[in-house]
Amino acid sequence: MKHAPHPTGLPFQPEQTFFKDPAIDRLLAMVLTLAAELHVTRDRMTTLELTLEKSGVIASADLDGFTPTPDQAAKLTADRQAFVNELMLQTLGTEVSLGAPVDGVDRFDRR
Amino acid sequence: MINDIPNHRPFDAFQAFTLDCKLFWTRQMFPELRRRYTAQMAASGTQPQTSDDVAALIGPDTTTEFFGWFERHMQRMKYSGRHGLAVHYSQYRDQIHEELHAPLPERLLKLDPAFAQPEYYTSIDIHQHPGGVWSDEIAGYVYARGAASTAPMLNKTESLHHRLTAAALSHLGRPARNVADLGCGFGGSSRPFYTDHPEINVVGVDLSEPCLRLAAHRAAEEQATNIQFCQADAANTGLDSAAFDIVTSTMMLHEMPPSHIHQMLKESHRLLAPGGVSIQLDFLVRDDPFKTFMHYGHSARNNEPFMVPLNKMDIQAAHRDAGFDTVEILPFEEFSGALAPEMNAWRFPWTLIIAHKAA
Repeated sequence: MKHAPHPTGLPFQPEQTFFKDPAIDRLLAMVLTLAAELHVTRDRMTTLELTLEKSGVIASADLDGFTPTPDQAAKLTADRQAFVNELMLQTLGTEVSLGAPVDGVDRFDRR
Repeated sequence: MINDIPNHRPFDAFQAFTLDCKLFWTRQMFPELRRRYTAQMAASGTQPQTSDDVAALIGPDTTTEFFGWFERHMQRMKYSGRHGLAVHYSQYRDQIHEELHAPLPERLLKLDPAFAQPEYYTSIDIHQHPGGVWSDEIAGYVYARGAASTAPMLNKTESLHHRLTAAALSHLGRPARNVADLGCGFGGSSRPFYTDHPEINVVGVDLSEPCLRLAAHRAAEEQATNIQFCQADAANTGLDSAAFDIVTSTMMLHEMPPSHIHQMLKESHRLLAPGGVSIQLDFLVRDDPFKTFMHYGHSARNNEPFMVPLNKMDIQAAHRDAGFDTVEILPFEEFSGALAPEMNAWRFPWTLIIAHKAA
């Protein structure tokens, strides 16, 4: 998806950066985009909850006091652990596919 | 009219989120940056004299980096994010078109179908408003909604525009009959004149047709009969000479190059009756290199490049060249307490420039 060209046809300027590494500027943009979406989603959930409560379908207190059955608890725990694991794995900086050797690929060139 | 656009909760939530981030930036990040600057001065034993000196001292500071990033990107998200202003109002394009082209009392709006926009105006999307305030029919709605959160500390019940109106009438020192509001935009700065003073005839002048249409329809909704909105360049309005007691502008000077400001001041002098007053509300920093650093940074971050040359201009000389007598430059209190020493939040360097035409 691309941004639309400017109505004047003039080219856009290079990105403005504020950090020594421009990757941080872009990363922070992704973080704030996610944060804003998270807020919109939380707001939606809250309005959904309030609407359902007003309609008598649920009571907010039931959500706060929700106690899962053993099966439900196991599913919730597994979902949480999978999410955390995937998130925290990124901190290790490990590759997950076999890349080319760092000393090059000449040795595979057998004539 | 603008309130006829349906409520859209995700839009409201998104805009409230970005505004809250901006409030943190205003009330907490800025004071922290100022504290770090003070500490750096003490640690280095230096006393910066210029904006460049300040940049050398705190430019590399991580808080400075975050401060700059947040200012630029909260504004970008406000306009162009997933629930940004431009995105949101484009969904109501048909409704907006219908509203803006509804019949108006004849005198209220004067547009020029052959109007040629100045190049400086169309070449930069000021405020990071995509396409600018002129190129898209929805631009007036986008701009008006955006203006509501530009300066987060402003309390709208103590309107900035009402304060300027009161200052203008006070500095005129005699009853006003005719006021020209240059760069009136969507009419916010004109409104206190024409709604609170039915005895005053007001002419609002702007380049932007989308803004002028919105201004005119808002005035029509209030059944105002003492206002006319005209599409014209503030430097060449086509209005009658010596016809106005007050010529005013709000946040216009910093959006034009110095050459245009000089022409606009000469035009203001021409428009004024003898004894009339020119009163411009804009941004100037003259006394504090840290505030200058902040201001010049804002200029770059928010696509408002003419703030810097305006700040460097000899404003008094420019007014005298245009024929004005006395010229005063005064700090402006945009809300109660804005100028108090303990007010440590970020704010624009609001300044009144008042010049009198000889009687």
